[in-house]
Amino acid sequence: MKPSLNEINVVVRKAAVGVGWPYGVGEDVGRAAAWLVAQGHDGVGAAIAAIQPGASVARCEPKADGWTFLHARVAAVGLSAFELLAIDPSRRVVLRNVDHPLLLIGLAGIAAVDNGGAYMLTGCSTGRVTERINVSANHATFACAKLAGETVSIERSIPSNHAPLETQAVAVVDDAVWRQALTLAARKYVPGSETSRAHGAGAGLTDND
Amino acid sequence: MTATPSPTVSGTHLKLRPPEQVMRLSRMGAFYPTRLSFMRKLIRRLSREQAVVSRPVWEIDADGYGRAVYSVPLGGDVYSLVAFSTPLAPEHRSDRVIAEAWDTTYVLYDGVPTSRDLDRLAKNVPRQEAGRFARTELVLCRANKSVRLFEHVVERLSHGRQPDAETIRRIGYLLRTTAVYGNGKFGIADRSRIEMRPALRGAFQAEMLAVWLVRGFTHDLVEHIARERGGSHAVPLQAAVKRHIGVGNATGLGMAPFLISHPTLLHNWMLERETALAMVRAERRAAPETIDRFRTLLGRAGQHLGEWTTNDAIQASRIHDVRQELKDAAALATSAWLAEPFPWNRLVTHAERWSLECQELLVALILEPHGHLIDDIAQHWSNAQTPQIAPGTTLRQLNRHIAQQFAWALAIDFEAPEASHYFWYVSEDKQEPRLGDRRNEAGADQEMPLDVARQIQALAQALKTSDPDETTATFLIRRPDLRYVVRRVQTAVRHPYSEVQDNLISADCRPIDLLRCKLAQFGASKFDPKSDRWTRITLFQGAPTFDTIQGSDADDWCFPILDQGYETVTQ
Repeated sequence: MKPSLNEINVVVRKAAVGVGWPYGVGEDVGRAAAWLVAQGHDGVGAAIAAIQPGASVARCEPKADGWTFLHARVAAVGLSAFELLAIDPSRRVVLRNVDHPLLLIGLAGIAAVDNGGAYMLTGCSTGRVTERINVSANHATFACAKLAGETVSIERSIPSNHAPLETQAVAVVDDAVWRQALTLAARKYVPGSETSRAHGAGAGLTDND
Repeated sequence: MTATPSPTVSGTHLKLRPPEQVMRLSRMGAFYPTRLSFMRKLIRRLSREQAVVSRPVWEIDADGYGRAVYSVPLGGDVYSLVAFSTPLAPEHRSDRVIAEAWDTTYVLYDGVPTSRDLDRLAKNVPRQEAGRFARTELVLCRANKSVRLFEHVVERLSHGRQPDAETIRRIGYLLRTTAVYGNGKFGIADRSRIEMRPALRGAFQAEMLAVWLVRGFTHDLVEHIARERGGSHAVPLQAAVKRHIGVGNATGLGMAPFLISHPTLLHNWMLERETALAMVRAERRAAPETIDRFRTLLGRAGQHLGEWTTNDAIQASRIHDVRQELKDAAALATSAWLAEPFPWNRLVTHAERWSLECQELLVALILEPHGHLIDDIAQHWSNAQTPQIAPGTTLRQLNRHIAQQFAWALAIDFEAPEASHYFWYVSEDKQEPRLGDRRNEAGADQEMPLDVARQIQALAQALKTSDPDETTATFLIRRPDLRYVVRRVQTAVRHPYSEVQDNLISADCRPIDLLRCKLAQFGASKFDPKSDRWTRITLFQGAPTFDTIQGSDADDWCFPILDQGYETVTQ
C-alpha cells in the first residue's frame, strides 16, 4: 500500500481517536506517523502499536534537573516531553519504561519541525548508554530504536547539517498494518440511516438538470 | 509577515475590520469573489507567462467519449490535464459524493503522461475514489454534464447557430464538477511535494489549474460533437459566449469543516483580504481613472446580478435587495463624491447601513481597481503554520486569552437545547462529513470536534479549578483531553482571524455560509443554494480561454456579463 503522507496523517489520527484517544493527541500521533514514514520508517506500525487501549494520562514528576515520566506510555506522553523542554531548554526530560520508542522519535521529529530545533534521545540501561539518536526537523539516523523498556532522556541539541531527506519518498505501508489502521479509524464513522440519507445534501433532488 | 491584525504600510497604521465583525457566519456567507481569489491569481500568472495550452492527445469519438490530454507550462514546470469522457445513464447521474460514475473524470498530471501512464490512469481515474493514484497525479476530479445546456449547445452549433443567450446567462456552464481532490487524497501527491514551486505555492493553485483546463475541455468537447453531427454546417462557439461559459460545481457539507480544521490557513486568507481592504480605505485620493473604472464596475455588477438566478428563496431575496442597494450606491458614489478625500473609506462606512451582501459586494468592487496596490500583499508570506501549543503560557494567561478571543463562545447558553441541536460526524458511506440532528439521529457519540464554542466553555470550566500559575505544558499532561481546544485558543492569539465566531452546532447554523466563504475565496460566483447544506456555483465564468489567455484583458473578468452584442449574433 502506498498512501500519501497526508493520508497517513489523517488515517492514523482517526485511528487514534477511534481507539479512544483525545482528538488533540490523535493529531500529534498522526503527524508523528507521517514524519516517520517520510524518513523511511514504519510510522504507521509504530503508531498503531502505541495507541492500543490502555492508560491515556501520563504521570510526570518534577526533578532537580528536569522532569521524569514514570512508566512512559509514549502515546500518553505525546508532545508533552518536548513542550516541557521548550519552557526550559537547559533541563532534560526522562522517560522510564518507554513502550514504543519509534513513535517517540516521530514525536521528536514533529517537535523539531514546530520549533526549528533538535533533540538528543539517549537510551540508558542499567546505568549504561545504549543508544543516542539526534532528531532534527528533517533528519534522524538510527538503525533501529533499541530503546523499548529502557530509560530515555531527552535534551535539546543542535540541528544536524544533513541535507533534508527526500520527503517525497514513496511511502510503502504494510497492507495488514494499513488495514488495521483503517479498521480503527472506521470506529468513528457513523452508518447511514434512512433519516441521514433523507437529510443529506442533494437528497431527493435530480442532477439531470 | 507576522499574524497581527494591524500591519502598517509606509508608516501608516492600517485599521482592519476586526475578527468579531468579519468572522461571523452571516457575513462570511455573504462574501463575493475578489481579485485576490485563487482563480484570479492563477489567471494573472498564466497571462503574465503568456501560457500556451497544447493538446497532445485527442482520442474522442463522434459521440464525445474517449480521452484527451492538455498540457501547459507554468512557472517552469509542465502540467497536464488527462480527461476521460464515458457514457453515463441518466439514472446514474448524481452530484452527490456517494455517486459511483460520472460523465467525465480527470487528473492533473505532473508533467506529460506517457502512453503507459494513460493506460494506468484509464483504469483508475474513471473510478475516482475507488481507484489508486501515484504522486505524479496532483489533482483528481470529476464533472457531470449540465443536461440542460450541454445538448442545447451541441444542437445549436451543429446547425450553424450559436446557443441561446438567455439559456447561457441562466446556466453558464456545460459541465459541473462534483469533487476536486488534492493534497494526497487517494494516493495523489502531497501538497508538500509541490508547495515550493512558484506557480503552485499559493493555496489551491493546482486545483484551480485543473478546473481551468477542464473548462477548456468542455468547450472543445461540444465543438467536437457538433462538428461530428453537423459536418460542414457546424460552427465553433463564438468568442464572447465561449468566454462566458465557465465550469459549474456542486459543493456540499464535505467542504464545510475545512475552514475549522485549517485555522491558520483561514486566518491568512482573511488577513490578506482585510489588509487589502484597509490599504484601499487608507488611500487619501482616488485617481480619475480609478474612479471611472470603479463606476464602470458598479454598472457591470448590477448587470451581473441581473443574470444571477436561483430558486433558493433566501438567496433570491438577497439578490433582489442588493440590486436595489447597488443602485443606491451608484447614486451616492458619483465621480464628484468619489473625488473627495478618503472615498473608499467613506463608501465602506456608508455601506454599513445596507445588507451584508451589499457590503461585501462593495468590498469586492472597491478592491478591483487597486491591483497595483494589493495583488502582491501575500506574496512573501510564509505558508500557514501547523497550530502549536505555547507550553510556557500560564493558565492565568490562557484564561485571559479565552476572555479576549472567545467572549462570543462564553456567551452561548448551552443549557438551551437549540444550542447543541446538531452534531458533525463522518459518514461510513464515503467518509465524508455530515450534519446530524442530535435528538433524532444516532451517532452523536462519534461527534467531530467542530463544537468549538462548547469546548471553549469546557476549558474555561477546567481552568477555574486549576492553579493560575501552572504552565500549559503541565496542565496538558494531566488533561490531554483539552489539548485540541487549548491549541485552538493559543493559535487564535497569534491568528485572530482563525476562528469562525459562531456556534457550529446551533440549530440556526447554516453550513452553506461556510461553503460560500471558502468558495468565494476560490473565486466562485453565481451561488445557487439548493438547501442550507449545498450549493451550485460557477467557476471561471468570464475568464480568458485557452486562446485568449495571452490577451491584454486577461485580468478583466470580475462580475462577468454576456456581451450585449451576442444577442445580435444569435438572431
